[in-house]
Amino acid sequence: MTIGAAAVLFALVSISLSMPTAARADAGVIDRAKLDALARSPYWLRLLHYKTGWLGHTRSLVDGPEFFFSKEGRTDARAELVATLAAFSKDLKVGRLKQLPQCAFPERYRYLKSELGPGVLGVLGIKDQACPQLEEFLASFNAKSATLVFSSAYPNSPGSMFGHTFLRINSNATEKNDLLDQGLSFAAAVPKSDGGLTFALKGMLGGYIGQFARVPYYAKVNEYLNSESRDLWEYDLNLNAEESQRLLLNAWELETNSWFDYFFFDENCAYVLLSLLEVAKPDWQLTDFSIYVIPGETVKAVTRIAGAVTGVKFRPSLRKKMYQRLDALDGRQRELFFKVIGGKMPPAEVGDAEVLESVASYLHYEKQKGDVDANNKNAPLLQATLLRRSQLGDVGPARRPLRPVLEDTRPDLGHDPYRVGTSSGVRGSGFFQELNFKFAFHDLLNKDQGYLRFSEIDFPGATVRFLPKSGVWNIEQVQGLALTSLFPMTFLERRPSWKFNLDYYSPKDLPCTTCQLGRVQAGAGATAEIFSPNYIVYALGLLDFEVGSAVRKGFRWGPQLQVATILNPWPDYKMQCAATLISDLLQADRRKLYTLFEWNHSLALSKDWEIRAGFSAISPANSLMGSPIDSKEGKLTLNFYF
Amino acid sequence: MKILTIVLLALALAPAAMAQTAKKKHKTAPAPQAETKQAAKATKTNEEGPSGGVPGEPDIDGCGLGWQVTDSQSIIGAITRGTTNGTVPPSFGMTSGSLGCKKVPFTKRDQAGATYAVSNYDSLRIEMAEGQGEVLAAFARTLGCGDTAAFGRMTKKNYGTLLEGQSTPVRMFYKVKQQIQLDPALTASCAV
Repeated sequence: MTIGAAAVLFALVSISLSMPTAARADAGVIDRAKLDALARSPYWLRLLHYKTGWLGHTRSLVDGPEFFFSKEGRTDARAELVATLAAFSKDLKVGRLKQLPQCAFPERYRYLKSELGPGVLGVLGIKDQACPQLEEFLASFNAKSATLVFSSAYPNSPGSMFGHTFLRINSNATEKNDLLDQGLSFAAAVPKSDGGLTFALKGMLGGYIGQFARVPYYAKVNEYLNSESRDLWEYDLNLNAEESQRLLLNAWELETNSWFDYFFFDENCAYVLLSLLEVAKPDWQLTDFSIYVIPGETVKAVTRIAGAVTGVKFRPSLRKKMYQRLDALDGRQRELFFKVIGGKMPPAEVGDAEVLESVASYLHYEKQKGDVDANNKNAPLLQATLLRRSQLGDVGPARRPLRPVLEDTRPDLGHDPYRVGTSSGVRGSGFFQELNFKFAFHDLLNKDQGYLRFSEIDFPGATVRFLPKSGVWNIEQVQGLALTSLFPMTFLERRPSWKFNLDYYSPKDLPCTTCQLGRVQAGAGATAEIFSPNYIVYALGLLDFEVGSAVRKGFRWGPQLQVATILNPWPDYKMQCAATLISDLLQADRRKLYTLFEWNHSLALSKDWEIRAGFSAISPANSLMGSPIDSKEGKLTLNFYF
Repeated sequence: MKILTIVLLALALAPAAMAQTAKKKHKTAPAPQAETKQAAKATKTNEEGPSGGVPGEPDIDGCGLGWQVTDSQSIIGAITRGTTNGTVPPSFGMTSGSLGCKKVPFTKRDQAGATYAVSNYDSLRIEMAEGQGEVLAAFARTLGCGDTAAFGRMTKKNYGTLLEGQSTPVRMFYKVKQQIQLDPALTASCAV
């Protein structure tokens, strides 16, 4: 008796046993228990991208109906299993490429075949088919392993601190160059006409569809390192060729048949890539995030799995590399550098290769800004510089040692985004206790490792204060959004620093202890380094507008001037000292002008524990008031990030 | 709860997103035109000039390098280029910046190297002048060259020839190929 005949016999027996309960005649050849087990198997659910939501309902995140053969496929994994098996036996053309079902869903096919065995598939009338388009797709990757790549923030843009993630599929080439590998990214498909607010709102509400794209890694490197001056962090994953291929096959199933609606905060690039990694590695549990998914957090999720990351590689941005070269020049060389870029000396007369390399690096960086006129003007200078450079010998061992590029953006070493903390303090003669909580993300006193240095982006959070003497609970602050970018100006770049703040807070210059005002502040200024990148001083001019019943007329406004310094002598310690001249233009019964002094310290005890000490005072306010307010305050805070 | 958070975060992210989009626009919009002008000029010079073209260099028909640069290729790439337009926004799954040009008749063998040269022209020129670097080594690979150090020495030595005048990435690519053939040792190490 041949195997085929045995299978038929088995099938007949199975049919006779399971006929009454089988969902479909096609799948009836399979034992019902086996079918149920398969439909419930974690891997099958992962292939369908089933997730259990907040309310406990389970459904697939995939939004395109063509991803499912069954009408109920999005919520019923068993129905989808039965329908998939039925489809594999039919001569259908499915998806964008009008492929045979098993070419459109090659990983489902592989999995079901390995679970059920070729015999059962044969009985169901399912035969292996040739899939030339799929073969071509797989061949273009020649997958051996995979790397998770994280891009850090743009300089001067705290909003981009969330970063972006994509995958690099490492090829099996004998003499491999990473740049020639293929990148696999998932991003919102945004029509070129959508800009600004449309982009933000549609992105927030799932108005775009997310798509996978295959891009040569060199193009990604160009995009991030050069055009956008972001660092790249490469996390080599412990994936073998077979696992990497599974990942690609599932991406193929998703991309050629369907789409995900793209949500900036949860179903984003990072989340979908993690879902793919879960297919590659069935024992990895990566997508248990709540509320929001930040790309940097997904990198942490991967690094938390023991053995998942086999190596970490850093690619500094073009901007960092340029400054690294410029920093290595001595005074004479720097003079030469400025002569050349200022057009006062033709490159042909320069005999110093280090200077010429710095000029080329600078012009390359400038070119990325996309200013057409400037680029056309600079093109001959760049060409002359490079020609001259090529005529000089190698710099060789005589090269001045380059100071290592700051590896400050590595995401998995950064603190976690949520914060909870408690404070004890003294205000005047009374003690107080505080509790604080925030959803995210990073403020000026946080240790900057893994984030954009001297930048702030804070999301909703709240601080409440308890006054034991009077037994009163008071809302100290409800944070809406705080954004600050302190961009140290250099001799080459003069970009403004800026700040925006939206909150509801308890003002300290008013004679009430439990009153609040809504506040919005915005402004700009400048930042400079003092002798070292670790010390900065900045000045910001702000416009302040506040509303609430605690002030006469129900609102107040006025310009403010803040002068401050942040010293960061060791990575774990920061000290901020600030004086803010505040004007209250509508004030009639006391001084219109007063100064707020603040002196803050922060010490990171570990990645997620931190101690802060803060002192503040207002002076010389309120001298026209009947009862002077004691506005001196000191507090000690313990924060935990999670 | 989730909706509340999303709305708050929406408020929060709007300025950042706007900044990013603005930056992207600024970056992508003017560049292709400038490159095209430059390339068109170069092609014209090539047609009229006494030096003539480079052996193997296809007629770029004045379209410049815009034609080849793809920001991003859909996973299904060229296969579906005609069919996905209905469901996919035009910025994806298509060759962006083709500027209505004729398809350039590269041989299949030249495709990888020429595409690479177009995409990495700026970094490549710098490393060619310095005679070394990762971008240059990858370029050597696309030309099938095993000895990347020798390849780097060649580009540094011949930089003036390879990038003379108003060069373009495609012109540079063919001159590099030509130069390889003039050097017996390199010819042996490369598969051009």
